[in-house]
Amino acid sequence: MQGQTGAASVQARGIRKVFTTGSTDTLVLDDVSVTVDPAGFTCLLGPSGCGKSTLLNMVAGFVEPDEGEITVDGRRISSPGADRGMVFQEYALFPWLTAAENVAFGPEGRGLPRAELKRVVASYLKLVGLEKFGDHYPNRLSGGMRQRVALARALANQPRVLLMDEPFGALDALTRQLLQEELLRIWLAEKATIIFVTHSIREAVSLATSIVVMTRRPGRIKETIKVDLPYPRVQSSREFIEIERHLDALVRAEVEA
Amino acid sequence: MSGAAVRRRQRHPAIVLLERFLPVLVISFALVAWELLAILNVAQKFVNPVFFPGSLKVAASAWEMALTGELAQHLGASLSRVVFGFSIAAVIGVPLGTVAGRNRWISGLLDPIISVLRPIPPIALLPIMVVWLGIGDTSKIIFIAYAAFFQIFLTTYNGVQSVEPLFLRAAQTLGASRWRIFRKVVLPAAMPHIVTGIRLGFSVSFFVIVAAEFIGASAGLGFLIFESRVYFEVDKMMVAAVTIGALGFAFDFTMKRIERRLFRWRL
Ligand SMILES: Nc1ncnc2c1ncn2[C@@H]1O[C@H](COP(=O)(O)OP(=O)(O)O)[C@@H](O)[C@H]1O
Ligand SMILES: [Mg+2]
Repeated sequence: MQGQTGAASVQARGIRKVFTTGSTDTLVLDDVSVTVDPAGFTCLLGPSGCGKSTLLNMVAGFVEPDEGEITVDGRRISSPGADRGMVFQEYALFPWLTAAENVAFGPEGRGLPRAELKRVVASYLKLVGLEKFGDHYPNRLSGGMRQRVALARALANQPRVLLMDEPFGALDALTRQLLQEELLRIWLAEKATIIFVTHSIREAVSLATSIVVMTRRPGRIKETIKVDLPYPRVQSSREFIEIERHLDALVRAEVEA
Repeated sequence: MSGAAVRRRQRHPAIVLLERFLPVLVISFALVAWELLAILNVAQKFVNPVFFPGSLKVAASAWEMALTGELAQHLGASLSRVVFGFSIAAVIGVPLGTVAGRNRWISGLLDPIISVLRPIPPIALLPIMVVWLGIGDTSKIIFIAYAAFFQIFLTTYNGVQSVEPLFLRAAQTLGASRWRIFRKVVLPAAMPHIVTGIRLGFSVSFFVIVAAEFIGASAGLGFLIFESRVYFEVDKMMVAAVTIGALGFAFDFTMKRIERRLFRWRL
């Protein structure tokens, strides 16, 4: 993103993951391989419980695969790092810090000088339209505003990949729509690599350049679809509806299988 | 939210005033009832009137003890023990609770010890401490420190352990080092628990000081109660008890205010 030379490419190769709870083993991901285009907007789409979050958490470095590996720009991932920013569905803002202090958390840790830090925080708050809310604590902000702060916090740290796990899932329909539009604007401006988890077909078609459809558990890759419709996408356009129908059939087959 | 605000505005000012001063009213009422009961007792002799002084008599004694410096002397003796013992407990309890909450090895070592010691009422160990440390101030201070330590340690430990894992993950993806996560995420997240632990620890100190001063003390509120028993000075016993109550209340009140101010982000 800003200040980065190009966006990162992410690859998952032969990923397998088994979760063990008590005496039962659950195979969650089985031989999953995905290639994420640099500067692309990739959606992971699949029925809930199919392992989307698990896969995303592996890219973040929170979960280790049992087999296979994940690389960012060819380097194998073993732990979380600043190169992979994350936006959580539950916002995960630090409630004891103001919006501005939350946004400052990443760059401050990198030892940015005070004046520079202030400038960076202001610019990212402005990017998400919250320049007037810097000194608000998260509990005084609406859900949509909180997620904007979380997005600004992740971006201010200038990650090479932005990971988003159903980030708008807890928001009402209108706020969700607004934030989708804002995210697209930011993505187009900053040329970020985004991996975005969703179970909403419409959300995926509205946003993604590439949609990775997963099967139900154990999650495998069912199909990868490239979407090259121009933005902003018109949900009533013939092409949009066609892709939506196709995806609907794919996902429906998984849920009903 | 606005609904509640509207309703509040509509309430009668007299009711609002009544609610504000209700605690004062209740206490005043209780004091009057107490005095009336004592007067009735003088007439009816349910118990020997010497054993049951009214609120006015107790207030008069308190005033007299305050003037002669007797009250200050005992209060000072108790307070200094409490402050000493409590400080030791806090200085050990907070860091140990924090470290144990973050380190599985240390908590693994401490867990069994604490599980065994915790169910034992601290009072049960007081005579042992007196045997080991003598009858003077040391045993009393250590006893208070021991009792308060548990409260402070356990509350801190739980606070540090119950830090929302999502916060830790968020900090990790922002590139924070372990030390930065500890300082900037774990500590602030656990701070409300730690402060609560300190408040409860202080309350515990007051709770146990009285018992400690029953044994071999020459000053202190506990000593005052025990000593007055010999001369049937029930009024003095009550002055001591009420003083402890008032002190505990004042401390709790102040701490809660501080907490509310410190952790405004929680509201
Ligand atoms: N830490 C874990 N321990 C045990 N099972 C887990 C764990 N995390 C996820 N699972 C299980 O793995 C499956 C996939 O979960 P998840 O990746 O969250 O799915 P999705 O995000 O697609 O809804 C679910 O059945 C879930 O119960
Ligand atoms: Mg999920």
